[in-house]
Amino acid sequence: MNVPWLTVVLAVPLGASLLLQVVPRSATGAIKALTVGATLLTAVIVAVLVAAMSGTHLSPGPLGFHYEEQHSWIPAIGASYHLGLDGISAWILALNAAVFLLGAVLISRRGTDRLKLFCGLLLLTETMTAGVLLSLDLLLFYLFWEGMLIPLYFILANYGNENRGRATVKFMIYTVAGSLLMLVSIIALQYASGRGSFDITALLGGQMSRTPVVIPWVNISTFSPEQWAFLGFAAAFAIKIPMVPFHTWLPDLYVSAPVPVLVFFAGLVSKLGAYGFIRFGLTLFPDAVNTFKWLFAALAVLSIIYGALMALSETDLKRIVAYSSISHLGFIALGIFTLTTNGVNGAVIQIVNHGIIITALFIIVGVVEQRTGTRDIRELAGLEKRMPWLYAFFLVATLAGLGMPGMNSFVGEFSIMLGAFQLYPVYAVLAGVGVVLACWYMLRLHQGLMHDPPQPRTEGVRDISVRQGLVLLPLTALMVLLGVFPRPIGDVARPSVQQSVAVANGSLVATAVTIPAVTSQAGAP
Amino acid sequence: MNTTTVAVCGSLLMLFPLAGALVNALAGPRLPRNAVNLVGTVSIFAAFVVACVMLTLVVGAPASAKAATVSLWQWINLGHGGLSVGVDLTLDPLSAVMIMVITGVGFLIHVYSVGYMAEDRGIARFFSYMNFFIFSMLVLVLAADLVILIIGWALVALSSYLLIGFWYERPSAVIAARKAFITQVIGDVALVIAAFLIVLKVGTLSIPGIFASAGSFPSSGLLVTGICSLLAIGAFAKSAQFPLHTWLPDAMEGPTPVSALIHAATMVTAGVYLIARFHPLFDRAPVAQGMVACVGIGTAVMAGIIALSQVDIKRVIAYSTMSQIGLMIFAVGIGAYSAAMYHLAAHAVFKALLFMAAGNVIHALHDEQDIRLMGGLAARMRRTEVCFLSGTFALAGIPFFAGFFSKEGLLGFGLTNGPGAVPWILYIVGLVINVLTGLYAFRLWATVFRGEAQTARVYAAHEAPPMMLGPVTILAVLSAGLGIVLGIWALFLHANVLGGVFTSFLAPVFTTATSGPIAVDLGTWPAVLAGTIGTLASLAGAGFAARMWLQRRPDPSAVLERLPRALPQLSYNKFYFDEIYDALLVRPTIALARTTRKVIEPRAMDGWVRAIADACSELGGWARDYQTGLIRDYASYMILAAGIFVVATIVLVSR
Repeated sequence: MNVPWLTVVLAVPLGASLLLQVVPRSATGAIKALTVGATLLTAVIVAVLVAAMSGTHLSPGPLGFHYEEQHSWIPAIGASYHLGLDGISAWILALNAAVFLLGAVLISRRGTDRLKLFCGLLLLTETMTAGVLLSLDLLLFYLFWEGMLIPLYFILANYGNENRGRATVKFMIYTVAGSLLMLVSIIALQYASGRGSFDITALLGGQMSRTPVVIPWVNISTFSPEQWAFLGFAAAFAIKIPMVPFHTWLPDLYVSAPVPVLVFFAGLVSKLGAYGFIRFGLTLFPDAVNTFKWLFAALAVLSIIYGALMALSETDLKRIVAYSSISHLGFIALGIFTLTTNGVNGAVIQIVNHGIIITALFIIVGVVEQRTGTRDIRELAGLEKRMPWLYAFFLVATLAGLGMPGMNSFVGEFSIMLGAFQLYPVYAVLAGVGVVLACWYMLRLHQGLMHDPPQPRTEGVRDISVRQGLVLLPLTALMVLLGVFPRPIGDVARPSVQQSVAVANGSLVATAVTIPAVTSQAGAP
Repeated sequence: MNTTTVAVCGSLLMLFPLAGALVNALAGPRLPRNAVNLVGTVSIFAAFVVACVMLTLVVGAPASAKAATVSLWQWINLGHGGLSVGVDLTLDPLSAVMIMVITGVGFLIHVYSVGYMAEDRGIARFFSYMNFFIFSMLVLVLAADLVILIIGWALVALSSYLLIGFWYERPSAVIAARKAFITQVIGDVALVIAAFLIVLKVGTLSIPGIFASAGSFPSSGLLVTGICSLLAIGAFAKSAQFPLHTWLPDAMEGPTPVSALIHAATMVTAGVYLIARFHPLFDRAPVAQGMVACVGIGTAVMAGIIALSQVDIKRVIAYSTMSQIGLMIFAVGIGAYSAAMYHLAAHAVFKALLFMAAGNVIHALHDEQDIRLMGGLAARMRRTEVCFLSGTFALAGIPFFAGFFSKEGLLGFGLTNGPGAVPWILYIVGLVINVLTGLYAFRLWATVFRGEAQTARVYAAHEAPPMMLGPVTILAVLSAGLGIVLGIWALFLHANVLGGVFTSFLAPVFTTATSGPIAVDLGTWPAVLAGTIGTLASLAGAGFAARMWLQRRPDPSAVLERLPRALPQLSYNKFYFDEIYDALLVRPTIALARTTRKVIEPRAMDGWVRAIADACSELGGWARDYQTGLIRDYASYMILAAGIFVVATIVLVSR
């Protein structure tokens, strides 16, 4: 039987969120069980899909997929329901399933008001983000990309601390502005290519004109249409990642959002920008990407250093973690814009790794805030004595966060920096400065909380609960495991990354039109 | 060598300490103290046994097959044009020497820790970290791939960080741990960039693979010089050499067994190992070699001077460690790899001995570390004093103690190799180091054990328990005995001592070493003369120290004030490196971070966003002003617009 598994991945959370509407509001146990059950089911399906991937073959074409589904949707404009899963999206989809599962587990049944609303929105968000990762049709992609904001808006606007309103408005306007630019580019792309299709496989390899647009009358030549279109996409993705200087929505939002939201927001949503760059930036605009790589790589390096400096001087725990996230996402962006196998593979690996690390860090910081009632690092000290289990988990997460060799982030950062070194050695050296700064701010955070004699705030706090421990245990175990044995991620991502990098470097023709050479001299001796 | 045997032994060797670390980390807090002690020490003993087996494997192997590389698993493979790294182990004479030192000295220090830490509540955590350190160090020396070596390299730094900050309620320990770790990370980054340069040139990071294609690096070329300089920076960070040396004295905040194991015997010598391991590249980069040699000997002199005026017993030994490692780094810089490795092994023995004997003193005085408050301990701690003296003799290079042969060997090597007057200059600097070593070594012994007791605490001091005295005694016998055995060998068999066992054992590793003989023949007259003068220099230093400090003076640093004023000031203040780095690196970075947070983030980064938002509302406000609700206003807008339309049409049509 040919089960459309990708549609199932989208349908399970969506179905569960609809089902949730018939559960009475007071049956909190059932609501929570249904949410956890649905996310768990999705996670299991995704895990099986990813595990079975090595057995499947890539579909033919310059961009091959392990699983693909296509149905006609709006034939008049050439939009179709086209889903696909390859080595790049596979692990990110797995991360998606995992962080929503963790988020669902972490929801406090009694501590969250309007639980039903929250759970429903969470499940809806999962469908949308999974859709972003699976769509191969630009219009469908855009639908999911913008659709994601609807549940997110209600979550962010309704849950969290008192500053959430302002932060949410800023986030929404910021991202919508970027998304609209992307929409313009999508339409331009479809129009210019002349293929009457929104499908990525049809638009591959740069279909737009590469002659510069000249502003009439003043005769200033500007970017080519392809470059303009790329910049439209780049605006949406750079804001989502976010790359400095498009990042100011992030710290406020992360500070105001509750931990279960942060788990999937920081863990996944911010990675979608990076995913978008790999999936669409590299393959649809090879010329523009090559033109602008120095700029975006420079912005990535700026993000690394800038985020690190901010993390070094902030005193609010959540803000420190938020800026560390900006710094780490800079590494991911840097890897992508090296346009090398090493860099892009490293970026994919690092997307997964960073998802694991940032999730754990936000959970830990959340626990500390919950136990001590403060997020000010200056009021905290000596928690190692009171919370030995938290200390152990935090130690692993800290080391992973600072890119410790032997932990998961090392393999990603190493490949990314190697890729950057191939592109411009100076970028790799500056990223190295970022690594040293990362060590500094992570230790400042870790030691600031854990060491020195306990302060009044930290006297008599309890260690983490079993449930928190059960959430942190797999995360920290993965940090070590993927550090010692990172091969699975690389093996799955490798073939797809090579295809995308080949397309980005203009060898589309070589890969797509590889016709077996017909020897005209077959009869020759 | 049978690769399967090597793989099994290598895995077991690393698994024992790792298992010990995990058991004590997870179950330790609930286990009885004796069980924790047992797990902590037995795991290292088991590793030591395996290491002995591996040594016999190497010794027993035919001369042509002294090295074996085995692959455990593929770490990552990014395909064509991408990174490919395997978790490979290599066993050869060089790594065999290292694993013997690590597990042998390591085991004795673990036993000592049982006594030293007997009253500490965090004993399980302590042994967990210590075992983990042994594991990391073994990864470092067995790694056959540069990436795996870097992993071991960094894990060693991690264990060092954890153990320096072991007493985490002491703010000074916390800061020292952070400082050590950040310095190490600077070294790591240098190594990583060196790895990039290597992999982009030769396409592999496997160490045997790199050496196989070492010929593709043009000799004295810019690339190989750059690679070796970066490797050397990594080595300097780990081995506490100028300019990355300031963390080592602060690292003395850790418990004394930690100082003995990590900051004297093993971790800090990893830099020497790294350069010796990468000698096929260094041999092609004479400029980098020269830089390494200069840094080594410079650090040796500087640390020797600083050691003269420090008043903390552990810091004095720490600076002496820095100085001795400087000598080793100097030795690998001039290509005397075997001599350096021999000094490394001998130094591991006598420096661990000195630290543990100092630990006995600190323990007996209830954590007093200021030597100005000691004195006269010989009467109460006779055996510790004898052991300490054995270490002091070895350190100062008194004939027939362990340090004598190694130090004279590498100074003699310097004398017989090198262009022009360079060997003579180096030799004279070497003599200065010998004098300094004699001075600070005997100063420490004299002020701690001899003279009048300076505080009442000294009278209450007791000899250390057997658990602590035992390992110290074994090392004392080794540091005296090793030298005596070798000395008799030299005198009666008239054999080439350094060219004997040790060098011929290591010879297969250093076959490609281009420069001159591997070691000095102690039988030739220049070597005898050089050795005699060197020894006289050490003895002069020792005698001078004895004369100055045996009669107890109120302040042992006061003597230095006869010298020009600047020198004692510099020495006492450690040449102001901490202050310089603070002013040049730490403060500017923090200031920059503050400025970023207070100015750039709100004004510039958020500023342009808000500027757009403000512009939008301005625009809206401006447009709103025209929505007056008055008919006559709207009528005038209509007329205006119609007028513009008409004019525009006329203009366009008439063109």
